[in-house]
Amino acid sequence: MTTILKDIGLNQTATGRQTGTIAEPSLACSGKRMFVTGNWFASRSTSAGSRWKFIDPYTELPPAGAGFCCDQLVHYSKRWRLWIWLLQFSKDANGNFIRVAVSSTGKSGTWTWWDTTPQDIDPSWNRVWLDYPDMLETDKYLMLSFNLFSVTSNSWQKAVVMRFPMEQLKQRSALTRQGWSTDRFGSLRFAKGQGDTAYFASLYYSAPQLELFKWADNKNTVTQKSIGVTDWSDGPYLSNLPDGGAWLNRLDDRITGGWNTEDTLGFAWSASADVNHPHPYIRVVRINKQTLKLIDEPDLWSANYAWAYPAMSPNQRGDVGVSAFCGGENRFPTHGLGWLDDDTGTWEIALGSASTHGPRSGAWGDYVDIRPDPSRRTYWLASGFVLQGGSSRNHIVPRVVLFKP
Amino acid sequence: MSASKKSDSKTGTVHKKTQQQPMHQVDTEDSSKPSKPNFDEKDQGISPKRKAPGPTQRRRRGKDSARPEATPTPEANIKNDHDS
Repeated sequence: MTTILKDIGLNQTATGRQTGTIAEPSLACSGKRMFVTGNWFASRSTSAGSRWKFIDPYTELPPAGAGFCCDQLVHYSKRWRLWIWLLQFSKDANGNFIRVAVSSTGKSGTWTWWDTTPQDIDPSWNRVWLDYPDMLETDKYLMLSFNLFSVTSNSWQKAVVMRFPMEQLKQRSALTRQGWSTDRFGSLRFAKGQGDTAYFASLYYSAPQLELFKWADNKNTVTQKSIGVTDWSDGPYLSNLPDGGAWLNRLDDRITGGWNTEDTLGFAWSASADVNHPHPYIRVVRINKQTLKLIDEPDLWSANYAWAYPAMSPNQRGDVGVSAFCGGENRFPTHGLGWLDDDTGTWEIALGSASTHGPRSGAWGDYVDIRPDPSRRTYWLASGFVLQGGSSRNHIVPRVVLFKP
Repeated sequence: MSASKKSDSKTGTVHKKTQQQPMHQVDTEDSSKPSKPNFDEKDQGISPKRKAPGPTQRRRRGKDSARPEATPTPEANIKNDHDS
């Protein structure tokens, strides 16, 4: 069973009317303080979500380059008592940069930041730009991952992982950046959890294989393991809403969720319908952390409608939670929260807010967020969004959900 | 900022370290205000298809493709599925 304790909507005052239909909400929390970002807003609460103050990502920090663009991620480091805010800036003819800002309180006027261009990682990377960020804190580092695209053709070039020492972020000192890249695998996603090692993964597209990467804090090298998994179908992602419209037009099978517990690693991605699954569903694989061998594949699916866009994280007890969307048939896009019951191998799901409409563009996504509640052992906090009262970007309502097993 | 050199391996490329000095927020009220986009136009300009997730496109298989496993994992247990 899953219990939703709070399901908070951010109204247009909280988002400054700067919402987009591809909402991509991220959230961080420390006690009653919450920080939520999305396309193209940020908002902060000091009252556990009762009241919100809009923060404008276009103006909160000084403009630079071609200006703020879109993707944002937030994180609160309990260990370092530090709010971390990642902002992606627009590309120009030379590329773009990402900004990592830190604050002890999250209040306006308290941020310190560092900007990083692709050329800062490798001087030969010209006319390329960083997109599709992910973020993880290990014992010593803030880890970031991106795809690198050509400015001229928008074609995929590389996947990049960077790491910044947490101590330097905390001290607001000169930041020593280290990067790793591959031109063989894309859309790397971190396994969320704690420890001195970053695990991240990609899917191999010529065979049903998950590529698992490991970068330990005390190593300067990245190791890789290929893990065979059951095949899946990548599209078409057919799911019609009650009004006959689509909502999965932008969906693909890149990994969007991952977790790291004491014993297991896990990764999740969306897959299209097949003979065993009448609607698009969420592929899930669990890996033994010691042997790095496949344990099982507890997919999340429903006979009645589609599931997509999973984010996953352990709570402090080690249970694996999920934040994702379901919809189709007689259901508009709906936020779903839940956890994997180890005893039964079943996903225990509770449905959060439901949309009243589908997206005008037929597109949803591209990611949501989930975190362990830093102060309650079995709770999670998750982000989502719904359309309320219409189909345009002005009807997007970002959600913050507190739930537990 | 220092320049980087790199070392290649089978898995990927480790790039040597570079340094960046921090920038501090002094007073956001005095910072120059950039022009913001028309959000309706920005929203409508989003591509209906995402950029490629990696180096090659996966072969696409149809709905009738069979998975090797005979039995799917248990269906999700959805608590408050009252609207469906």
